[in-house]
Amino acid sequence: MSSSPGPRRVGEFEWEIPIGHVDGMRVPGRIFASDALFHKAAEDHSIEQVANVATLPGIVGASYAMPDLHWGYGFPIGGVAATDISCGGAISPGGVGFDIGCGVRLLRSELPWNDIRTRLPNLVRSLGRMVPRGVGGKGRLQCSPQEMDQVLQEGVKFPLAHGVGWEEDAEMTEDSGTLAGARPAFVSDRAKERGGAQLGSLGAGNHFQRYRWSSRFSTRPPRTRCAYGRGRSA
Amino acid sequence: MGSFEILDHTADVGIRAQGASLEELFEQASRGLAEIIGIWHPASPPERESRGHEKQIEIDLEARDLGGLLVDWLGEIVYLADVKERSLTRVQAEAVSEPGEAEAGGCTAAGRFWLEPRAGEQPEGTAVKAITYHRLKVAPTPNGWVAEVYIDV
Repeated sequence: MSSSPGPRRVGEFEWEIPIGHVDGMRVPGRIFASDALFHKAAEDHSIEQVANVATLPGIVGASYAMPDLHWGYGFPIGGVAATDISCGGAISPGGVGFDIGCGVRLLRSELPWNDIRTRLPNLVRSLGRMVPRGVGGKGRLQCSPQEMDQVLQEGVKFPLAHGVGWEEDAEMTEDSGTLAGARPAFVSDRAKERGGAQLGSLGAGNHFQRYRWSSRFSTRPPRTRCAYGRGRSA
Repeated sequence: MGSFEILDHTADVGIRAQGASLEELFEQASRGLAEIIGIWHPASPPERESRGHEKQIEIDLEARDLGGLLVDWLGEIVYLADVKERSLTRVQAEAVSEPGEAEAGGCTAAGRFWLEPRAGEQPEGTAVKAITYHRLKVAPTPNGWVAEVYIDV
């Protein structure tokens, strides 16, 4: 009886899933994880998913998994794969889960720690009230169906034109906040209805805001203006 | 007698539903989903009289296979909970056909949901993003049908 080759450690924090672990693998799998993370991932189907991604047409190099690896849909969460379009490959947003448009924004405040340390509870409560979020939480932009199509087409320019946000927000957003070639007609009316209520809000589900104070800052030149500064809260 | 149970998933949640018939299977899966969202608010007949706010929605769906049909059916509940801000008081699947039984060659489901305005501003359960095809299963068993469906939360 033959058995498929299992994952093996190739570095202190690096593991390889050899070709042949599952049928049809075109490249190996490569997982970056500590012992604890790797064994945690082995408890569900994440490693199998890394191997499955390695079977995709056009995949080049390896099917990679970052240390946030866990069980996703098709792709594992934390999975990274490059595919060669000229070999019949595909670009799939499934590679990053279903949270299309999900992202992280780091905002640096101008508040020195010593000025706010005694007022934190009130400050956090105020921010919680001011930032719309959660299921049933209504965003600051409520649009008609026609306006929703405009939002999809124009992106961040729409709220800016309606007095929500600052011009700098567009500069700090991917593609300057407007997706070229967007086709609102390809989005179902129901999807627009579901998303509409959350427009201008932080969103619902596992979306959250977090406030931190940092006493250190990066020595690398900041790529954006949202880099931490010494003694600032964010 | 149908039943459902919640399945563990690292980041999301699943439902395993069982029923003597496809109709019962769909009803049990619906109840499981409504409980996850926190909008399952069943009412006995006298309570329905006193509440007086129930609204009936008719469902009529068609899909290529039973898995797709169940995903679409549960998607209706997600939509109603999200956009219409309603609780679910009753579910009745009246006719769920197997592949090939429907004229177009796929399968169909007809039924009704009873809804009432949600009491609180937000449901107390888990916000659902989508019903997924991840490890989706609808299969016959010696005693009827079983389904497993995972929900992106």
